[in-house]
Amino acid sequence: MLTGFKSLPPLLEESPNAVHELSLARDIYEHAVVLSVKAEDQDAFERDFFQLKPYYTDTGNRLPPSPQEYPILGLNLLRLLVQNRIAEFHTELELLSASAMENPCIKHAVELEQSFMEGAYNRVLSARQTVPHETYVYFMDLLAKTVSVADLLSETYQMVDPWPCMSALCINMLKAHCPYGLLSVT
Amino acid sequence: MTQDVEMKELPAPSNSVTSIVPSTLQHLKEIASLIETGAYAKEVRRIVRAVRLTIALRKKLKTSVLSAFLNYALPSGSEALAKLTSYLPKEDEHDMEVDTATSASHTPNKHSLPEIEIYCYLLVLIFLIDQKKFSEAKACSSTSIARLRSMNRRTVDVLASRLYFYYSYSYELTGDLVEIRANLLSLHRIATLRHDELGQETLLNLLLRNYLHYNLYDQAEKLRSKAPRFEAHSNQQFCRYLFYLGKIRTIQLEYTDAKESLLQAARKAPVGALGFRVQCNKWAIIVRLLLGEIPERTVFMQKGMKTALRPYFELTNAVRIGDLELFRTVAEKFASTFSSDRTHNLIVRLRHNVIRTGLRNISISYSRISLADVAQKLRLDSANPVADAESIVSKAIRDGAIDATLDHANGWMVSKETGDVYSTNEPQFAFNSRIAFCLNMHNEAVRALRFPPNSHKKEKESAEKRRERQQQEQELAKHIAEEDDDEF
Repeated sequence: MLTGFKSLPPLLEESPNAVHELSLARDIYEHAVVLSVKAEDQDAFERDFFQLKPYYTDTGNRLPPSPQEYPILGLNLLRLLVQNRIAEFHTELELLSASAMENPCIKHAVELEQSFMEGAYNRVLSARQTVPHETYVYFMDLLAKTVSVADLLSETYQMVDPWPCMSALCINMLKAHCPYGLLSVT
Repeated sequence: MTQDVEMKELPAPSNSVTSIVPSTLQHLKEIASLIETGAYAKEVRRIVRAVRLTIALRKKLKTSVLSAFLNYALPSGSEALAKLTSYLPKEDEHDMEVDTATSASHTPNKHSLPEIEIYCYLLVLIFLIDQKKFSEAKACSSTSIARLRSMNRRTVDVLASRLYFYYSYSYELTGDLVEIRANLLSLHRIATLRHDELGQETLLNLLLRNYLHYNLYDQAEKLRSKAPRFEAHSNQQFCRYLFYLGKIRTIQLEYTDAKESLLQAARKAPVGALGFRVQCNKWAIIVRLLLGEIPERTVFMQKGMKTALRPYFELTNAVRIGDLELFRTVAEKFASTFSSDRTHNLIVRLRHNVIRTGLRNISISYSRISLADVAQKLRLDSANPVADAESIVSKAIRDGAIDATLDHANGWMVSKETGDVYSTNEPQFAFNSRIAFCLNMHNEAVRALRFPPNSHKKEKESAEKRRERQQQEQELAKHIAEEDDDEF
């Protein structure tokens, strides 16, 4: 049905009910993105998000901004972080305005990236409790998984003597969040 | 973003040495005849020179002079003349100088060369921009671009590339860059099809600038990697290209490459292009900081850049000491500068480097230190600083930033003894990379030399001919010597 609308990107033709068509299409894609997160399908998420993106970037002067915009953008940032695509993460970040950065959803992702780079993994793990939106939980779990694997790597790098204490520390944190981490330790 | 204008103006001083001051109109006529001969002889270099001379005249342009020149250069009653004069502001007739009337009389001058026409467009456009009549400039540039599309002459290319630049510039000044993106793309396509390499170069830069203006790094990189690359024709364009490339790479975290292109851009840029060089240096400083290097003090003390680079100097200082507190205050103090330079997000990335440097300092000075002290020295402010410090240190160890081990039971960080660097291969590598750099520089210098055309054919001159010629020369020399003797 959407293919019949001439006012949608990339044509963006002027038509009398362009605003309705645009907002309808945008809502549909927004739901698709959220659905793909619920279905835990990262590829579908990427596809849907790129479909949705032109509505945020190119139709700004026609449509009132969507309330879902920032949560979804933050979700995408989180996805890039989980997939360790840091370069794309920063490219997306450049597109955001200073006011967007203040939004709790975006801020959450940005702060996560910082602690991730610094290596403050305990902060990453504890950030799960403070998610700004329910859909974020899925990616946060994935992130915890990435973190735990990275932590294990760092442990193997160190000498043998801190091993028991460090692993104890890690398992304590992991037990609460992520069964996968536990498996790979034992 | 004024670097472009400044770059434009630099050839000016070298050319303004004209002994007497003939009227500007006279100059313009000379330039026109230069273009004419260039067009007939198909010598692009003459036209390049004409453009350079025009820029030197830029400050002296007046409405009266311009309209007189238009009357002189364009066939009367032509479409271009009518259009161009309509863009010029109206002024009183008696303002005109006397010689304009005489020149107008001998207009039958058959000039209908497209080069001259395009040149007139360029002149009017430059004039309008200088007079801050941006909406007229926009209209004028659009018509000229429309006219350009229908032309396919290699001698126009130079003028066209300047026109493209002012086209984009006039739109940028009014903040409507996004409108012309599609147009620029199609012009780039046309230039590619016509093998107009200078035009391609200019348009690619304009497009990159257009994308980066809206922070569309993704699209810019895609375009850049797909667009055809060839040896640079114009140094200015190449500098800009390197600068944009450096910016894109910085955003995409390819710091080593970014540093290389930014430094190269700063080095290649002409001395007069101060604004451009300052921009390059700002970005280069940040990239070097992100790489974990500390730029030398001389970088900040370059002539004319001292005040502009001041915020970056203080930032560097904070990173060098590894003091998070100081870093935070500097970032806050100059927040407005950083956000107008659009480097704010990069500064945020630097925080991690500050911690690293601080950690490295600690690990060098202490052989064993408790994690609580580490947290205190780094001034980590969080709910659980010791746990934070522990994970930060462990990450740093894993990344190879410091050489140490953790003792969790006692809460210590134990540094390893650092060996003598000179017993490793390290100095050898450093030496090698410097030699390679010097050799590369030498090769590039050789390649940049310009040789006169057909000089290699002379080598083929047969031995016999050479003997003959030498004999002639000797005779000639003898003659001259004799004549000299006679004179005395």
